[in-house]
Amino acid sequence: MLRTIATTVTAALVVLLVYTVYLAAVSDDLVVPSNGVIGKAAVDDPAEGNADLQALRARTGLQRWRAESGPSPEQSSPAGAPSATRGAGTPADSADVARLDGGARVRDWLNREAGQSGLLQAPERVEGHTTLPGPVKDVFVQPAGRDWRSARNGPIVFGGALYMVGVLTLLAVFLAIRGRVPIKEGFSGRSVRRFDAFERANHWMTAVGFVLLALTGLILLYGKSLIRPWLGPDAFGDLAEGSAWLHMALILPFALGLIGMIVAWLWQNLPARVDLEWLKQGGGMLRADGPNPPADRFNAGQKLIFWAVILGGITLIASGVAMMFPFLWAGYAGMQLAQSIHAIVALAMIGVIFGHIYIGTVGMVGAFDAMWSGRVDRNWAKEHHSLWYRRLVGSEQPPSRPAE
Amino acid sequence: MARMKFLCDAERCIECNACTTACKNEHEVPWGIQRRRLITVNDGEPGEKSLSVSCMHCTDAPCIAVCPVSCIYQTDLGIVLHDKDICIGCGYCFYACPFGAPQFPKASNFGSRGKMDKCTFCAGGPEADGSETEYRKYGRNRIAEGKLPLCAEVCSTRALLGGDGDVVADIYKERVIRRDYGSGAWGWSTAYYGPNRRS
Repeated sequence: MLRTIATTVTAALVVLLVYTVYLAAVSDDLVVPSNGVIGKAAVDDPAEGNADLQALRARTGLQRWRAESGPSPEQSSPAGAPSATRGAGTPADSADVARLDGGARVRDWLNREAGQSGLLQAPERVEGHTTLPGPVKDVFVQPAGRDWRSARNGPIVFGGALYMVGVLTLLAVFLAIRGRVPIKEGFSGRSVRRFDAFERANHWMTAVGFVLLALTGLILLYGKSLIRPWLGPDAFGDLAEGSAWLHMALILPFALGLIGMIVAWLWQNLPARVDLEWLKQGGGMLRADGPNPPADRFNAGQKLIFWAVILGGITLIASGVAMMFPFLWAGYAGMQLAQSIHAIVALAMIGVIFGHIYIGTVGMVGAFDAMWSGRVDRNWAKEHHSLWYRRLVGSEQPPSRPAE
Repeated sequence: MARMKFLCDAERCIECNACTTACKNEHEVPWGIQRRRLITVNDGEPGEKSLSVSCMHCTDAPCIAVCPVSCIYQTDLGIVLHDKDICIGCGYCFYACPFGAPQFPKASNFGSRGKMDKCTFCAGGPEADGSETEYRKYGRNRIAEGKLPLCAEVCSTRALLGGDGDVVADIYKERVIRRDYGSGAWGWSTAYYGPNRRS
């Protein structure tokens, strides 16, 4: 039954994966004039009809040298006033420019096929001075914005989607092949205390915070393509605004939770010699009949999750706070980097947490109790955390935390 | 297909700030928001040039591409407009914009930003042309009246050109040929490229 579900889910995820690859391949990020209006019913067309367009074009021509463009159409010239249009009285200087031969450079310009390319500058960052207060007002052009845009709309969006769907697919494949990891000796019916109330409360505060942060963040990254077509522009705008605010507010439980985890678990998550052996055996996950490598209260896999959450979380908070106070201490490059790092690390962490959620719920029998009720079955503890269990049962009243 | 463009002739700009002032006045732009601003490069050194810059209404506008709520759009004239009802003030358009055009009012504590505001090429926004709502949110809609952006029309040295891209390019080309030197059409290769580079 479980395997049937897992196989079905795998098939669905593989289809999704292939579809994402297809989308990434055909994605054309070029912006073309939509002439559309986003959100409102009416089409916003500033110059409707050809006549209006011709009027605008004619008016643009008025920005020529006044001797060529003639008097302003808005100002009725008094009768008898000298005409400023080209004619008998026009100075020789304003004769047809095509007849001017200013030298090789002009000929070169005139020969340019596009007519404009010779007058263009290569895109490069130009910075000057301005009298305006405020950060980065003195930057005239920063072509790096286009790189940031390409990175965000290309590798980050599609890479992130491929990565997330890929991780889910791997997990589903694993479940379909391996099934749930059972307790080899079955439930003993007797339990030991694994996590105290503080540890559990702190874990769930961080967890709820992270899930909401991930959801609101994904709305900002993927909502435009996935949700907006269904919800409509206005409703999605509200959803995105709420997401942005919630996303910023949730920094509080998430950061507090990280601090709690550091206080409660840091020392027990320092690398130890047994971790090498554990990793070498793949944590005993890969083979159903193999023995479980010894582990203390936290095995190497849990330690990796811990450090991913702590280091990733600190990176996310740092880059997130930088974005909450734009251009306070970072310039263009800093802000763009902060946003890119924030997105990449967040996507990476979402994948890691997928694995964490999987192994804590569906993946392993008896694992969820540890963080829910705080007590685990003795056989589970003996199998997965042999060193910790041996120390625990040595004492009559098991302490909530192992003596160091 | 006509396409609206801005061009600032750096050989002519005298940094008089008439464009920025006219813009502020015409649209009653709030304090702290600069839809158009003046930048002087090589200030006090040989080769000093002043440039008036605002939203250039790019061909392949990066702001539209990165807006997470798609509140920015481009009209058939190539004018880039946005819908303030949808904008969430995330500031991504500012990270992507080559010209620093999007402006954000300070909305609250933190560094949080209000709805984005930027140059509209004097074309208002999605609201009904010439309506009170449109004026309050986006400023005057001169394009609907058949007029061009005020900053360009007010420029006393004709340094700032705005309007149909082909005509603007012609005017600039004529000038460069006549004086036999140019300063490059600043920002054009960044703003106007892509498949319809020539339009």
